[in-house]
Amino acid sequence: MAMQLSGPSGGGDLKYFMQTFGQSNRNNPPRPAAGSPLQPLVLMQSPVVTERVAATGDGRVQKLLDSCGDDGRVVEEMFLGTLARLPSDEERKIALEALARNRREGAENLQWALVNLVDFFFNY
Amino acid sequence: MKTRTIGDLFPSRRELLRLGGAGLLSASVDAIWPLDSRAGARVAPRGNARNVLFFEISGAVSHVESFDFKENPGTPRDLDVHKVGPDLSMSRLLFPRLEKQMHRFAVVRSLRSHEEVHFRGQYYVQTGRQLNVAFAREIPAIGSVIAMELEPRRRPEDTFPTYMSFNLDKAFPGALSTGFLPPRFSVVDINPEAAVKGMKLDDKAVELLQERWRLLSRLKEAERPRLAAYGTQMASYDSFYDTARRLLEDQRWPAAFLIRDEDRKRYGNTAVGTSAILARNVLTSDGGTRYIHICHPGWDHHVQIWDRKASSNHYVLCAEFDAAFSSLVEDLATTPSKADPNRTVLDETLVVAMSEFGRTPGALNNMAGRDHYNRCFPALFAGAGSKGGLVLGRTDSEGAKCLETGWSRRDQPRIENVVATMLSALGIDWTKEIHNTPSGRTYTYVDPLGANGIIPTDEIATIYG
Repeated sequence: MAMQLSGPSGGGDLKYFMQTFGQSNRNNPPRPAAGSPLQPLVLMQSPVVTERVAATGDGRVQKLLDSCGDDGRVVEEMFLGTLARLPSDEERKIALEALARNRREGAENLQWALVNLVDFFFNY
Repeated sequence: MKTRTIGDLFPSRRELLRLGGAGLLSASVDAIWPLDSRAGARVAPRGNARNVLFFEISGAVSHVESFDFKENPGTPRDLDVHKVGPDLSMSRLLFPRLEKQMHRFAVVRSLRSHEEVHFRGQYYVQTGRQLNVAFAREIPAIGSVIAMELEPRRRPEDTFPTYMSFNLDKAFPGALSTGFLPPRFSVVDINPEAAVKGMKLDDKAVELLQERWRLLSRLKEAERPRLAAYGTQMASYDSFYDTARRLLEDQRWPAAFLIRDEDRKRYGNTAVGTSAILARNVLTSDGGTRYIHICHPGWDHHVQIWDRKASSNHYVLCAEFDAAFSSLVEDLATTPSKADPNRTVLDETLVVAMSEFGRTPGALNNMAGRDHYNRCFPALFAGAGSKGGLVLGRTDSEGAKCLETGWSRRDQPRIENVVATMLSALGIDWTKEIHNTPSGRTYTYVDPLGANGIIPTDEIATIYG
């Protein structure tokens, strides 16, 4: 996907993030879709991801925590919003445990894990 | 009974995308494993190097104003040219530090290429063969072939990727894929500036990463049967995660990305300088990286090659190169090897520096620049027992025509032979063939069928004296 987009506005971390996933520039031909260990490296710890999963301000995770009273809803919305599917029973159980331990951190960690789930890596 | 969810549809959607030829995967071929690999001709690989470092002077340096210096009508007066060897001159203004390191280098001045445009030329440099668009998708980068060959030699403590590159996203073809090889042999291409910022994790960050990793692992475990339906490509991508996490938790990795101000200054404070520092750090920490490709782009001086006011010119690029490359070689030559304290890292690393071709010799063109030229251009070799101070091959007074090839053959050496030299140094039989490629066409590591007919596939043995 990154390789079909024109350059995102803004440079720095975001630009590096997109380049890691094969974004081309206007002069160069499209890159071959070779995966590389650099991609999970970036997905796991680039500020592009870690800042977006933080439950702060008007971030998505914070909004979900504010608007859904029920943890089950938070988990469902997060799965739908990230992977476009509902969690399986087993996944729902694991996710709810994480939120039960610490609602805010659990939600951040869950959002991080969903982005880093190989489904997401592969489909988007 | 398990209720069906939207998630159950995913494998079939992927299948549809694959059949329809759309989607990310269609751009790569299915990896083959195990390989049907057979010995080719009888050669004896040297195995004299633990590492190979390939420094690509990308976009092509003017050979007559660098490593095969020839006085010409375009030569500026200020270059301060001196003899540095029996038949070799160099500009002290352009290469003040490299000039003092030339005793470490064997210079081969007789290379030739069949390519004369950057994309194809740089592809040739990365793959060791002519670009053939019909097969390009299955052709791996040389570094990936090396990663595959050296996999059995990896030690348990080797967490660094076998094949790393720096700044290679700046090359025209980008960092090439693994072709028919499984994705685990892929390059880890590092954008130097972004990496220096991003690879450092403090203890708190490692703790958080571990906690998140545990959650991720449990989620993955829960869906393992469904993921299995995605096939081997998915599993390969998933394995990148283990590679990446082991790296992030290895203290040598963030340490390698720590750059001291004095190093930054000495290496020239440029992207290529930072790349060279990182390459040095990676090699000296002996974490399992065996092949490094550094790309130094920007040498394409068709216009105003000697105009100091132009945004890019020969003076500026040479200054970048001189600081980065000379510092790198100096440091490798003075750092003891972790494997054998009596040897330096340079003793166990073959360093190669070259462009994809040369630039037009003689007078400057009508835009005061130089264009592409493939009939002769030089390469520098150092380390791993190569003989410093050797000047091999000879060109005419203009640097336009090769007079002596500088090795055992009457044909000029080509990039195939540079690749053979690098593979030989790592102890890899460069004549090996792989027969079960997706196309069915045999892949030979160094292919005797060159772009213009049968070519010798020897290594350039004369660099060893």
